[in-house]
Amino acid sequence: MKDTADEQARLERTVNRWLSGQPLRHAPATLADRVLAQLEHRAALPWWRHSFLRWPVAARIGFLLLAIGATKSVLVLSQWGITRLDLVKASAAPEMNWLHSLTGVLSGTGNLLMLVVNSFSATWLYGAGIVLAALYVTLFGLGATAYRTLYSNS
Amino acid sequence: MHAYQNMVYSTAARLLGDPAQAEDISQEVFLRAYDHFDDLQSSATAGGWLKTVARNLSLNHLTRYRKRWQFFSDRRNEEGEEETGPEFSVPDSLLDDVAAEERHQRIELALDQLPEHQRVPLVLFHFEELSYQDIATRLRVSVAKVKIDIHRARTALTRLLGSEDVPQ
Repeated sequence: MKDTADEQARLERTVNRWLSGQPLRHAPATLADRVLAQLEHRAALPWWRHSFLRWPVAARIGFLLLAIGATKSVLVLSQWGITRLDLVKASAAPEMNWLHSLTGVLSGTGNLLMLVVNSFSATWLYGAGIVLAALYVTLFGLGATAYRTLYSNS
Repeated sequence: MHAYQNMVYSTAARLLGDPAQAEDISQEVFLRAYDHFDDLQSSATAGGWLKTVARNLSLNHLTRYRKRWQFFSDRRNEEGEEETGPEFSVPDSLLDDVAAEERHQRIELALDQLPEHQRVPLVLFHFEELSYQDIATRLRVSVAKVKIDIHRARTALTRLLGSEDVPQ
């Protein structure tokens, strides 16, 4: 048993001696050219093809406003659609039971969603948005601090 | 870049065992370094940062194939097909009479011939100087498996270097 342990230790020392004495492998001569070509390709891309964080500030703000507007429009259109569903249901022929069922389900689901959305006051929604933003910034800050602390010396 | 390209490429090539993939990973490392150029240009730890990124990207690349790799690795272990044979006594003089340049080349070729589940922990232990525990955590396997794989890798490497299988 001891012989086996000694043999394993000797094997580890031998392999370590070989590997620690190994010089670095030579990188291919094409590597630098590939990196430079890729950087030039990235630089030639229009700003909107880069990641969101690299967009101009005005573009980022505009995009966020657009996203908020689009969300609001979807909500308004949904509400409008729900009221139209009732009209469709009323005008449908009595034998089209499946249409009555379908509009009933859609209308019920829509009404439930609108009830939930409308039950939140504007103050609540703004507050929730601020809390989410604060949580995101805090989490991002903690993550960056932890990364720098843990990996700065590695 | 020229100061670090061999170090970055070596890290990737030894972990991946494939020159083409290592070049792709090296390219990605330097592109990421370019994104952090302001931080890195005055940093004393730029080399460490590049080495860490090269190691992580290489391991992430391997992780994409991890399930397939673990499946075959575990199957071989269960079926006992991966026995390394009787204990192999390392001759003290092995490679001593080989010229340094040729010895280096033979060792690199032998490393590339090791199966992935042996080469990766061996490289992480001897080149990246990670502990058994760190390797186990990084590869998401048990410490016992890491120790067994590294021991088998050392034995296999020694056999390869002592045989005629490694091109000279």
